[in-house]
Amino acid sequence: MAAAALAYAQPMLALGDALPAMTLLDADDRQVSLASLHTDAPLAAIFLRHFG
Amino acid sequence: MQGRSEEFRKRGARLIAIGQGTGQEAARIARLLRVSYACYGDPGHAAYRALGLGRTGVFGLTLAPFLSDPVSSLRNIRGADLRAAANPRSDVFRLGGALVADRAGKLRFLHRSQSTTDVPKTDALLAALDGI
Repeated sequence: MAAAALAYAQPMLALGDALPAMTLLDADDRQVSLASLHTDAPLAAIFLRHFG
Repeated sequence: MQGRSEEFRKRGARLIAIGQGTGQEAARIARLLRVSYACYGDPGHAAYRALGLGRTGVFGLTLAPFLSDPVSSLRNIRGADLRAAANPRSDVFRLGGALVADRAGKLRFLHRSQSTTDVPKTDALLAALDGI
């Protein structure tokens, strides 16, 4: 119960907030930081529901 | 989204998709579905959690979509490619979403899907890009 309450207490990201640091895997399974994908162009990212 | 990827390019934006598998699995799905933009993997689902993307339950995955939006549900079934869904790392209860960030990394648009039929609207993402 306490852990669940803590999870809900974490602040949710809101518009204007900085994206948190995230690491993704590219097509060769190399690590890519999300930050590297928006430094030279605005980024639009779609999070797929369960495919892939 | 695939049919309108050129509109993102015209705005100078980078369009990507993120899946729940590895990067290689995401690339395989991109080839299967003939997606022209880059697909990345998030096998630990850390990015999903960081953005606060939610999960649904058994009812939300099965009966609720048909009760709330039968047309979209049937369209999703018709358009589903089971080869793309065959991934043991996928959390079938995980809901998707979308974001737009500017070059500084500030969040300019965020959609957290509230159900399996709640899909981010392409026009909303494009409008967010126009506002940058």
